[in-house]
Amino acid sequence: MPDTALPVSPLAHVMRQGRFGRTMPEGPGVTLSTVHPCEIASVITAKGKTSALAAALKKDFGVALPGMGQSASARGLMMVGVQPDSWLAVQPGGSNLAARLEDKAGKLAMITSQSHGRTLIRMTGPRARDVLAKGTAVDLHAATFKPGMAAATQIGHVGVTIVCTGADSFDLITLSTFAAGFWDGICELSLEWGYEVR
Amino acid sequence: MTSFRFDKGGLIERQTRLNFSFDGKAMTGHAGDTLASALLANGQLLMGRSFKYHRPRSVVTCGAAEPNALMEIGKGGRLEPNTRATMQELYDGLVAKSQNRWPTLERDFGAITSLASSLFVAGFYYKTFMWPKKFWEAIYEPIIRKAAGLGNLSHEADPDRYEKGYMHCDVLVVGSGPAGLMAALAAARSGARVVVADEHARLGGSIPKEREEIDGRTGTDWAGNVIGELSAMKNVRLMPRTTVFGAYDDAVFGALERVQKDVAEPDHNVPVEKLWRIITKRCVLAAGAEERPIVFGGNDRPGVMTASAMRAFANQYAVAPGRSVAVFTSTDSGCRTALDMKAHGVHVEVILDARKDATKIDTGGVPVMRGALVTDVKGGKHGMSGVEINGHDTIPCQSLAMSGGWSPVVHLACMRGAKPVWNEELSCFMPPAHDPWIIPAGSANGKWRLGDCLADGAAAGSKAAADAGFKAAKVAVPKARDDASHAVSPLWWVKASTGKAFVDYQNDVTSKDLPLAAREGYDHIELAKRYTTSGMATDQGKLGNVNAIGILAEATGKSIAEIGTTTFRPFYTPVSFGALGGQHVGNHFQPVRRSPLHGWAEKLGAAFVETGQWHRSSWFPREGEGWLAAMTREVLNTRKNVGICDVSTLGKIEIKGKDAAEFINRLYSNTFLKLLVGKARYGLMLREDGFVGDDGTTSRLGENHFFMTTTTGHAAQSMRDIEFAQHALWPELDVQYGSVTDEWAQMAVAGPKSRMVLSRVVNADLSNEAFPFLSAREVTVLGHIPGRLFRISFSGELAYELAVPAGFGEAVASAIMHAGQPHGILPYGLEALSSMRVEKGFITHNEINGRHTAGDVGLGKMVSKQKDYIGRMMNEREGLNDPDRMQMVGIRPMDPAKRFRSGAHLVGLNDKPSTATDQGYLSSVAWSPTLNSWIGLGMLKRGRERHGERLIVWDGLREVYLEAEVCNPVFIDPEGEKTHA
Repeated sequence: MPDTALPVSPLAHVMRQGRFGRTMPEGPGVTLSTVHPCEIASVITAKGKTSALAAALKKDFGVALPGMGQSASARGLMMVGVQPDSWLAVQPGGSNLAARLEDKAGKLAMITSQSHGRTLIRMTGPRARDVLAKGTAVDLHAATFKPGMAAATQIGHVGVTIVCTGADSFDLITLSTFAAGFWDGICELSLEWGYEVR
Repeated sequence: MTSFRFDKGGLIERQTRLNFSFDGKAMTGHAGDTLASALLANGQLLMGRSFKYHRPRSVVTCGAAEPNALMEIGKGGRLEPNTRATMQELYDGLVAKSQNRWPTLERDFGAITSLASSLFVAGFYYKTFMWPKKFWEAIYEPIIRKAAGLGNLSHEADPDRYEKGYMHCDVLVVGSGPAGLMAALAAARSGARVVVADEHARLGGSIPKEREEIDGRTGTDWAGNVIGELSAMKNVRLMPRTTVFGAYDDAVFGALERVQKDVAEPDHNVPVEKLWRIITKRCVLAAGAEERPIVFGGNDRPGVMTASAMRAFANQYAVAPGRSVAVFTSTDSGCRTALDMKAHGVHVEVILDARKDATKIDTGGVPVMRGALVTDVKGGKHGMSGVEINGHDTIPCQSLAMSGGWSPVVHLACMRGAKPVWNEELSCFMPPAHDPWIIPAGSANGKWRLGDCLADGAAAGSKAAADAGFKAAKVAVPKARDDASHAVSPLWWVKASTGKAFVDYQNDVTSKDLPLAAREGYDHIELAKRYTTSGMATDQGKLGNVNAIGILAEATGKSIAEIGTTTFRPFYTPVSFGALGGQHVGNHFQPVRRSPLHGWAEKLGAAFVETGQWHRSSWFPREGEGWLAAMTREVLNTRKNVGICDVSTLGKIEIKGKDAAEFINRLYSNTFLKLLVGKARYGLMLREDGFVGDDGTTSRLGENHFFMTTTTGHAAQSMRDIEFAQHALWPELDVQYGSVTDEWAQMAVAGPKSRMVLSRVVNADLSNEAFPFLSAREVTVLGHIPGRLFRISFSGELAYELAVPAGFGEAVASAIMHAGQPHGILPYGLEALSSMRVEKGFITHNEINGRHTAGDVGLGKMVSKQKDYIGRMMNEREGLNDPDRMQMVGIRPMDPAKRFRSGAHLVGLNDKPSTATDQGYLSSVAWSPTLNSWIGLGMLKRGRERHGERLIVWDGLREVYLEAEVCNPVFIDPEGEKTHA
């Protein structure tokens, strides 16, 4: 019997740790990793309940409800505005996020667990913006796409939410059934400047 | 061979020797050479054969417009035909081959066409090879294509990688000549994000090609300084080797960056070319101007080139096409070539000025003949020996520079539909005025003097930055010689030419073809282009178009402005398919979707089939089994014992909200308002036009909580439909929904023993009383995994679908396999699933194909008369309720072993198959292991009342003509007793 305690990552069969691509004197251009398990939930407000939801999240989770294309984080919970009245709640290493949100805000919004449906890939490094620019039409210039900002876009025809989490750090949240191919694609685009998988 | 390299001068690195080969002959060149300049340096003036007449040709330009010197570069899969030698950087190990000649460039058999060239005028092929009609495809065209043409492909896969990307900026500067550099400087100093793209390897545009002083120093010094300043600025991206090939909607431009086209063995980690989509706020078009050749007899002889090309070869590459030069010009700028060639120590014989009354300018002592017209060029394939003047005198010389005026490179400004504007005074087509995004500058804007170009560039850069929202910085315009005169009197063609005079080199269009086109009625410029082929192929008439327009104007008695230009479209210069495909090749051609149970199925030896983006487990063969044997075994086992199948690919949508029930009730044609909590229901969705759109089950998990499934193929469209309905049709409803397709691994467990197996995995009472058909409930799986269990059946058996969070899918499926072992459980794939659904007469998108109503497919009762829903009005149309419509039936061949296939037509027993006798078709076909027969679902006129009737299944494609019987589409267990067991 296989171990049923831990869920299997959709990247398990494609991720290999190590250094790949071109060897650059200054080190790999990007570093790739995944956060697994990672609690993710989609939060879509009920009609007219957005401000009530904002208040509830602030009170019970300490996190603000950001606007579209923005993210806000507190106590390890990140809220990302992906559509009007729609957010992704992300908590690496958390547990039962959807249930906890449901408990406090279930009457204000549809809370749906996406912990298995979405896969989070973390990309950091001096060439991260260059790699992503080969995939998305979003303007990723450091002065335009700043830490805290987010974009719902596509890379290689696969939907992805990109969150800028630091100067050269990005969380890429994509659909799990596409994740393996998406990972391959991202790796290929990173060959040019060398990449490290952690 | 007359061409040679100077002992000194040029911007080549003489200490770096590069070895290359041309048609197998070893040659050497230097870093900084192009293939063209290196060939000239090696005395190789002859570089190709012309398209139609196979005339010997050499370079006629020094840049992007080159029509003649096209080569095959590289070997094997890297071979690239039609590469312009003038644009190809020389590298060590470069292998070049001339094109369109047989057996060799020296002795080209095809050149005999030249002897009969009076026959081969425009339209010759169309007029000559008309009969017999079928000979065109079989005989004429292949022969003509072989004789006329460009380079060949290797037919091997390209081993290199290509990539595409996006780039954003405030100001895109196209071209890095005097105007482009000043524009970039002005915009960059204003703080704008600037991208400077130049098609050449070396930035500077015309500067390295001319001997001009700027700000009291050499042009290259000055340019080097500016480029240095720009490259140190963080807001500037300099992109040499990058051709901006297209202007698209708003201010989006396409550009091709040649990343590794200057090495023999590219680094596989790096793409050889990158295709960029540049999204900018403003574009400064500083693409320069193209010098026009003059149309005169023998103007295609090796040794004849544009005056600016001859200067460029001499100044930048230190090569000349011959040791003595004559200049034939109708402009003042042609004289600069005489001065430059003299400065390099090349003997300049004479300046032949077509203008009788040109003002006298400094020619450095070179004699000038006014009113002189070149009527022919003497010489052969290895070079020229002299030019014939005004039909009689011959002046000896080894090369001829020609200057017929300048054409601004307006392409990018015209690609979104605006036409260039003829300027009589400047004798050129100017970029269209008032483009909100594109600001032309320098010679692309009709400024011929260097000083004017610098000033115009600075002004354009400032304007672009200001338009993009920046405070324009002041930029001092450097001093440059601005006394040069550029007066031009257009000379479209030398009518007195004795030799063949070419308008379009690449397509061998002569001065006679255009008047012929006009005479035969093709006098519109777009028609004349197609009739004569002038302006076609890889150079798109960059050199010849304006002369062609001038000649056509004369022939038709119209003005040049009236004739106008043909349409400008991307691409400015050819772009490889590799670059257009970018990274989306091979496994990345389209996204691959992997079910969370993919790995589980793989371990069990599944064969996978691509259905759209999904790779689905199709059957699970044992040693020696084909698909049919495996599928048969899987079906029989499922019907006898129990089977498990991955159905994770179904679209899954979570729906919640106060008005969720009402929302769903409007989406489906059958009612859902009163669905009980804990129950699932099969639902039918119609399209707005009343035809069936999709089907699936929706379960009510709570008062305001539903879980909807759609078919695999229609999932994305159903989601779009739902979004549209909520946003546009019923925004007043309080409902939320989201796709959870990826969240859940879902498996069907089907067969008489499925209850026994599942009971060991799921902690719920699964008895028929506690969990009857169409129950839906949240359960706990393996003691700790939250799951959802549905009692629904697509196989007609006692069956369940169990959904668990995707990451637990493999573990749960394996646990079910383990629990099912004593009961003989086997996995089954898509083939078995399909066969069982045909046996049960269930529809899929074979039947939901946009042509059938609910009534047609036997689901008329699912169309409610009590409520409104999407598609209701249109479904009530008379034609959709015609009793004569096709209706779904079962079809069985009289001989059960005889196979038919979906798509076959149904005709009467004694009918000859035809459109008139057509009564329907087979929509789905399967081998039924249960009935030991091929069976099909079909759509047949009035089918429901014809059960028992015999007819013919006719498949003209596969030559199938079979007698078959119409029957109930539910082949197995029509009362559904097994499902409810």
